[in-house]
Amino acid sequence: MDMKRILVYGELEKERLHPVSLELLSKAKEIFPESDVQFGMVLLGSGIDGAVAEAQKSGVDLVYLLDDQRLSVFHPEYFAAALIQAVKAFNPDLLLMGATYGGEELAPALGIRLKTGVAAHCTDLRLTKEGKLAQLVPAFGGKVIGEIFTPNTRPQIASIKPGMFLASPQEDKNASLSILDASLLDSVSQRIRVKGVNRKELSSLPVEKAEVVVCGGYGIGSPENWNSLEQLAGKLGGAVACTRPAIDAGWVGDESSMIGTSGKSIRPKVYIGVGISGATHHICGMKDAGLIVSINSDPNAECFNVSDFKVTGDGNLIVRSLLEALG
Amino acid sequence: MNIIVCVKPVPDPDKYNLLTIDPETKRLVREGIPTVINPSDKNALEEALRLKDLYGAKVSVISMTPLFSVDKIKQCLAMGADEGFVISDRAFGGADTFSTSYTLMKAIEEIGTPDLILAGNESADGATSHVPVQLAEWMSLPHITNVTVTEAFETKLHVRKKTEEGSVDYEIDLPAVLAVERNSNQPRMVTAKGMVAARSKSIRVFAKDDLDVDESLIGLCGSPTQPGELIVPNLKRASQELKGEPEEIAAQIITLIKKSGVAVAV
Ligand SMILES: Cc1cc2nc3c(=O)[nH]c(=O)nc-3n(C[C@H](O)[C@H](O)[C@H](O)COP(=O)(O)OP(=O)(O)OC[C@H]3O[C@@H](n4cnc5c(N)ncnc54)[C@H](O)[C@@H]3O)c2cc1C
Ligand SMILES: Nc1ncnc2c1ncn2[C@@H]1O[C@H](COP(=O)(O)O)[C@@H](O)[C@H]1O
Repeated sequence: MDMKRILVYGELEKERLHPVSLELLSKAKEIFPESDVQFGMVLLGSGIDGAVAEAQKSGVDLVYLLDDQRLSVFHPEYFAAALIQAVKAFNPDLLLMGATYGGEELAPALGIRLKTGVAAHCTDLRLTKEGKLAQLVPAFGGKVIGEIFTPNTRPQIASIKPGMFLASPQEDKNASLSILDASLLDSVSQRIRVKGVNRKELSSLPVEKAEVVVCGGYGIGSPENWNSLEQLAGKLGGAVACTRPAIDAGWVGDESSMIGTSGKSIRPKVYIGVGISGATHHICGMKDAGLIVSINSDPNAECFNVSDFKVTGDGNLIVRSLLEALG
Repeated sequence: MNIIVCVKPVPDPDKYNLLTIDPETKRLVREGIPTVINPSDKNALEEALRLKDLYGAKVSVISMTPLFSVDKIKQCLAMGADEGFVISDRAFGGADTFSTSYTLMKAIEEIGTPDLILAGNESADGATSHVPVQLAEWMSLPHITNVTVTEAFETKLHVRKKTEEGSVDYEIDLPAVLAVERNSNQPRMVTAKGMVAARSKSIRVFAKDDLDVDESLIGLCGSPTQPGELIVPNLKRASQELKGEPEEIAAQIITLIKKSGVAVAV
């Protein structure tokens, strides 16, 4: 089936365009460079003039917008209704969505409402020799990657986690703006009501933005050692990341720095893993790092296989030596 | 209150490093990997049992799964669920989340729509996080995923959804579908007493003919997504050993960091 129109769900982050929106657009443009493919982006939010300006310059041909107070906080029903409206207007062959907490809930909902297939958490999109779009999805924690095709229904929908693809600069097409009719929200049921928003303090350097990531696992062993790991990341001008058991142990307050299947995907210049066994759930989030150094006391640790350099020994001793060397 | 919990038996996620693909058949070899209850489904069940303890409820578990994993449903009954439903038929094989959720909806129609449907937030094997939302959409019920906290009132719930920025609190009318986050509670253990009690609880099995299904929406043929090839990605790197005293290793690591184009002040 021909690919004529591709719609990207323009995820927002604090009233601005979320990087994942541009990552998805870049990927789509890379696969379909032909000039006859039309690209659209849909923005749903409240008070988002900044994001609209960014989207219009992002390289798409058309931007759909619904700027409404009722879209100021994620709401499964309002957002699904508005997104459907944009899909009906643009009639895309492919809908790309960020697998964020919101996008991950919207994509499958649209799959049922539009009676079409959704490929979840794609790690890649590519064309086969026959020109079919293969959506590559991870299974079994990323140990296995499977091709998924959506042969008969349109639009085909794919969700992709932030950080999977690289955003590349696109030619500004000075996109025209199409405003969706806000009255469509009036008929949405009131079965869900937003009661409040709890904002956590975000770290100044999120893991996905750091050039150096020092990642700690269960082998770190104690809150004191975790402290040293944080100091080390600070001295290197980087960020601390973690595995799931480090959160379970209580050394890390929340999941925003967890790397892997259910956490973030990162591609820093340098990743240093300390006390991490190398479960496939974790590996699939850090495999794209430039340099990977792993420190583990177990000479057979799985993580060593995916590392450029390995150190067999007590990770906390090495961390201490690094701290001393960095002064 | 009637609560249905969606449960999926999955290969033990702690052993996924052992999975391989048969080079001949190109199929997954999962020999030696035991089946367990999907981790977040235990949290969903615990949430249901907690509501049962607090307000009184009948808790049912439902699973579309091959019959060999019926013992996992028994385990749910031993934890405290009141009855089990298993949907099992070759005709349902190869279903994607679209047709899995459709089939679950049809079985729930047969059982009777409960006040609340709880599911795990994601399965360990497929990990799409689709089924709870899609089940809700088939049933035209409201849904919220990534739920960490639930508080029940007469006809509504207060729930907390995890988000990038922190969380959002919602009030949601019943009946509704919630997908419960892993680690949102501490699932209870199976006790000997629970195991004895489970023996007298019923597990009802639905085959295709027991359900009023549209054949064009079930199994592999009814799935809008179709699987292609499986690949085990090769992520191997050189794995060169750094040797020496800790200070020497530290110096080598710093040199490597600098070589990667990161400015380090030493
Ligand atoms: C559905 C699902 C999703 C998941 N998603 C994620 C995810 O997104 N991210 C994630 O990280 N995990 C995830 N997990 C968990 C994952 O399967 C592993 O359990 C986890 O990654 C292991 O973390 P770890 O390596 O820190 O701990 P462990 O596996 O316990 O390994 C600790 C390592 O530390 C080493 N060690 C001990 N002492 C020292 C020392 N002094 N110095 C050096 N090394 C030492 C040990 O040899 C061992 O290799 C998920 C699990 C499931 C079921
Ligand atoms: N075959 C199934 N039978 C019953 N429940 C399921 C099934 N597949 C998925 N679920 C439920 O949906 C949740 C999310 O699964 P998934 O969409 O596969 O990530 C699981 O945690 C289960 O609660």
